[in-house]
Amino acid sequence: MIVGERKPLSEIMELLSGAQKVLVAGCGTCVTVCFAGGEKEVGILASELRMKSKLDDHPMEVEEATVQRQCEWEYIDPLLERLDEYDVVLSLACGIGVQAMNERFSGVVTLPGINTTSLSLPVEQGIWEERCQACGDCLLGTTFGICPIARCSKQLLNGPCGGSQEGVCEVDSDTPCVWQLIWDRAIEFDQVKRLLDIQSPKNWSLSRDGGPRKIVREDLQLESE
Amino acid sequence: MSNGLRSERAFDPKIVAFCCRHCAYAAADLAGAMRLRYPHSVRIVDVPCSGRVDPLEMLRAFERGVDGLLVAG
Amino acid sequence: MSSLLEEIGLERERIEMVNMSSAMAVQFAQAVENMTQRVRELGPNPLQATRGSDNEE
Repeated sequence: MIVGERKPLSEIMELLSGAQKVLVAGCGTCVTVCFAGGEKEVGILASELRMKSKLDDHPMEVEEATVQRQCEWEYIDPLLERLDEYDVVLSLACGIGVQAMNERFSGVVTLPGINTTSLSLPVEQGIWEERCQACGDCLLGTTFGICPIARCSKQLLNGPCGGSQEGVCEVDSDTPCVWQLIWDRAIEFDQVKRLLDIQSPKNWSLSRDGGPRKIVREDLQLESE
Repeated sequence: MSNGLRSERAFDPKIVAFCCRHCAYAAADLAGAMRLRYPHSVRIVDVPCSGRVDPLEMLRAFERGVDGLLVAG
Repeated sequence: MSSLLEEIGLERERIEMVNMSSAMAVQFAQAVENMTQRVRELGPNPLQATRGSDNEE
């Protein structure tokens, strides 16, 4: 899922400086399940903002709204009718949601209340580990389902570097060496030989290196021009 | 009690106590039955479990002017 | 939760968690007494000062 983290209150207060009436807008999808920007977090932040601004002697009027998905027009359009009441919208959605709001509603600016951090797996309660970098050219099929792009500090494609120490990454001792994990899994399936093929350089043009990416599915478009 | 009276007297903090129905709430009940004296300005809120209380409710209490908060399980 | 309060600008001492069994009436009364005393020293919730008297009971 897309994972984010709430910005510190001080940073949010700075972003909102000068605003009198604010709408805190949450999203009911990814950021809800990672506890960063769902209905509850919207309530907490709105309450914090009301209290903080009151204590700072510039009380803000803060209201709350959470939509099912802030990254789809259908879900955010119903917000339009109440938007002109606000000086600013503070979105607790991911970066996509914030931009969707700004693209859809020209009259009011939407500011980010969280930092969108990663595509992560909630490995246990309260811990999210990065698992995907959306590189655009999935190689999980050659690495026994474990991604060296997202999980190797150096994004190596042909085995571990010299810094792999007893299964731990030299960059961060909390990070397992992903090539150790891949190797162990290859042994488990008795297919170590498959790892001995040299991988040629990855096609990064399918990732961010090729510029902003765009998918066009003509079969899904309502009308073609 | 009028506001004027309140400010002239010693500050009487308004405390909200979120009490677990099975532990602290029952203890508060017993305190009443035992005629124990404790500050009258405490407002007891019965919750099914102290784990039920979440930050949002606590913030709302402060937002509405409560002076202190007790979570008793 | 206490860091939330500090972020806003309220003292973290305004909140306390205690544990007791249903038979601990004396401890309950004591906890309320302690909390009242502690908050009395901290003074009123600053958010109350700007609040209208209409919210008073």
